[in-house]
Amino acid sequence: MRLRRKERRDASMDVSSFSDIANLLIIFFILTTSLVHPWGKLLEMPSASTPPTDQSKAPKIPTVNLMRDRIVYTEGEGQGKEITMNELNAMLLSKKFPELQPKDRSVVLEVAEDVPYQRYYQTVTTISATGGVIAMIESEEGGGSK
Amino acid sequence: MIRRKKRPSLIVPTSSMGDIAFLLIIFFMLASTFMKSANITAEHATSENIDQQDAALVSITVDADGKIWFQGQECSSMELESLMGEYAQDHTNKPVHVLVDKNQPRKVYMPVIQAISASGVKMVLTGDPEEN
Repeated sequence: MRLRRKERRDASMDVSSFSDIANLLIIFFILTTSLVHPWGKLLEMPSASTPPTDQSKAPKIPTVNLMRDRIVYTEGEGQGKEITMNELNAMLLSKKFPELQPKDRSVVLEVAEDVPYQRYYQTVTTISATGGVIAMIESEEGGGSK
Repeated sequence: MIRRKKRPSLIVPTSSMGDIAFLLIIFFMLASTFMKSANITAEHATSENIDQQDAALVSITVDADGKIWFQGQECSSMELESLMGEYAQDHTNKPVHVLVDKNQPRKVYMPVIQAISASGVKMVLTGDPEEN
């Protein structure tokens, strides 16, 4: 009698499609990953721990009154002067804020109620770019056209 | 005696391709951060005086409808204050990224800025660079 040899089961697994799956996953991650760094400006705000400066010795703090259609610049107790965004930039650059202590770099920003974010954003980034530390005040008036 | 010339093998070994692919996947999984504000629509404000910043750890968005989103979750300005208080306990030096729709009025964006400012956390106001 002829003996029949018992058939052995193949224990190996088919892994040939694994690399295809892996490549599909790579494509997914390449498409969903964002390596782009966002654009923006780090805003410097006055810290609560900074001791208040002696007003008699303190330099005249610039005040920027931001309205929907105009900017009024005041220094200390002086008369307000209507300026453009470029003039504000030039005025603050002349202060040489980066050379001063943080407590002497304050710029008071008074924002009217009807100022949209776009205008506020341009003003705030301009002040920050010159090295100014923004102290904010909300203005009650609307500040429309003269 | 004549020696038979050896023919070079034409089969490219591809068995390690799967391993390489999985290593790449692990790299991308560790290096990627998913956008939390992908479904939020906000028109970006523009400015000349901005530069490129590091990727955001935490992002706050105010969308076109004036809704506030903290890490992709909608919240009120009051809730934002307490969330920022919690965040400030561990991450005072890591700035939060703030994106506000450019048409929003002061009553919408100012409470957000004040809430962040009050927590003592630094903030980066994000936008788009202005084209001259």
